[in-house]
Amino acid sequence: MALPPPLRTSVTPAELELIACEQLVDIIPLVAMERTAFISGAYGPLRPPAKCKVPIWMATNLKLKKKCHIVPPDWLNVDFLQDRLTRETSQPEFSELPFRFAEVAKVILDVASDDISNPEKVRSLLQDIREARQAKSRDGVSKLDHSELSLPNLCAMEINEIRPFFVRSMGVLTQLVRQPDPGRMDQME
Amino acid sequence: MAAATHQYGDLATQLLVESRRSTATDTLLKYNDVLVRSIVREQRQLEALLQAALAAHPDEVAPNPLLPTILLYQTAINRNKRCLLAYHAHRIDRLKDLYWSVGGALPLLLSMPSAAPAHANADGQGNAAAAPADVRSKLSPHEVDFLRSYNTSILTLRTEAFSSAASMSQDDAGALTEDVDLMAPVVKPPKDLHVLVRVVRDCGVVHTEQGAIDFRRGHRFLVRRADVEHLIVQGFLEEV
Amino acid sequence: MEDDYYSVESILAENQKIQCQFKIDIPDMGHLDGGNERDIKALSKIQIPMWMAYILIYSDYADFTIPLPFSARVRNALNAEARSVRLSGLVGQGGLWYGFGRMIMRLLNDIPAQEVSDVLTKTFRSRLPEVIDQAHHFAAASGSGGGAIGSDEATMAFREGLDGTERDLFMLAQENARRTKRWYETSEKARRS
Repeated sequence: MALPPPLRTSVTPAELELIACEQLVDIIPLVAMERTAFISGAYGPLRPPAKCKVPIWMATNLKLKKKCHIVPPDWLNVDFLQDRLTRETSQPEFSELPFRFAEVAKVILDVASDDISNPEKVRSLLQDIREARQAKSRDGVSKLDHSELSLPNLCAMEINEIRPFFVRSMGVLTQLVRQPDPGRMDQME
Repeated sequence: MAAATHQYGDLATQLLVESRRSTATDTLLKYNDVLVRSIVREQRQLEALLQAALAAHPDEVAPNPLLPTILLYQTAINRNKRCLLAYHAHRIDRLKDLYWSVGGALPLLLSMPSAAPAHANADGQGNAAAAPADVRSKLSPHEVDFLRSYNTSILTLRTEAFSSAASMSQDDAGALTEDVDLMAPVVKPPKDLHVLVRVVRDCGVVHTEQGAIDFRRGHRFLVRRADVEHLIVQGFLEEV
Repeated sequence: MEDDYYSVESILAENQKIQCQFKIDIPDMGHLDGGNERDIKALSKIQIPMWMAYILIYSDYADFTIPLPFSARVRNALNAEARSVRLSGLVGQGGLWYGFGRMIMRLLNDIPAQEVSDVLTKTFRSRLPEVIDQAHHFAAASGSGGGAIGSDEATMAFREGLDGTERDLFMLAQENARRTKRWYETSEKARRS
């Protein structure tokens, strides 16, 4: 096959991160730059200290060269995450979270933790949320059916984690569940 | 029946056990010509028995009393056929995987040692004597032919569909501004424009955007990714 | 495990034998039971590999008895507590209990087939949560053989009793969990000097 073996079962987390980094984020530039055209679109001009929207990959690049500060998106703070955590633990359904929150949060926490207030608390909140949702998705396994399974509000990273396993199990179940065959075989037993 | 085949399908099972072992140990075993030939021989014997049984009671109104026997011969023949096909299909899949993992460099593939990496020359052709366990010795002639024609097909695809030069002649909708490199590694999305590499095997002088660089074993270089990706895939360079 | 024509696993699984009782004489096939008979006589019982048994049963030349892995005793044990049954002990090397069951199911008529199908689905669904739980625990305690969680006797016994299909799923889940966990721990800053 042309696709390398590690990629065959599911999308890799690194690929998901790549896709998530296309999203736009606010930055406070420290250098000036003209409006430049990239493959995905034209960004800029960067005129410090005015805010500007750029893709996350560009923001990361600039940040690592110490040429900007990243403004965290409005869901990446202690209050919002705390509220979501309480909702996760109190309700049996998954609470609403931005679809690619795991990847975006990881990247921003990684390079720009000084731009976020209370990064340690944010990290631990994200970890708790992740574990609570994982426990719920494990319960979903017992409700597995051969025809459909619906888990609303699941996020990109989590879907990717359980997808190969769930799809395979559903495949096995499909083969085990008997489909009525009209008029197949003759006398047996 | 022949003393060696106690049961029909035993030889075929042996063949498939080899296939399974090959998957389990992730190596390509030698093409088992002997076993394949004996299975084909068994098929011919079965066919002869079948014909004999059919001929024994020709054109009778009542159903042939040898019918169950005939059916069993037929089943055995089909079983052997299925096993042979599966064995060959399995090997071809592994060859295709191998081909893509070296980025389509056919001479490199054929001289590659299929066990632990041996010390081969930089010019890819290698010495068949120096690397006794090379891939080519494990293939049957048909499989080598398959690899060659597969390679040709891929090259045709590259030049006709994925290169910018060819698409200039098409209308605007289909034109590519740059070559799409089919052989580029896709396992890890690149994070950076440049990459730090260490040279594993001498590759000689390579032209990069920084000019001509002589890659000698053991040295490290910071080069543009696009210039050296094909060398990384083929194993001459190693990403640090 | 698919019913693929080319699937090596499928083909080898079909080599499993079931007990058949022949209804008629079959000339010239006496060597099938390893004996010296020239023909098979009616009413003799022989172990036949499944790929051969299909045609015999379709054409009504033989009856077969439900083999041991699906006997009443096993079914009762599964009904009581599916997770404590060692599926890998019931079938031969590489143990493909579910696959075996599927092949048997196709040989049977409506009602017994439905029963077998129910047994298979129920067992699978009750064992699945356990499989995924263990897979995640082992991915978390990566490397050094499992730590405190895995050394529990019951969990180890369960893992050894997994049938081939379940083992595949286990590896899949474990590999995926490990990969995601590794990704969470990589850091951009480490790359830059």
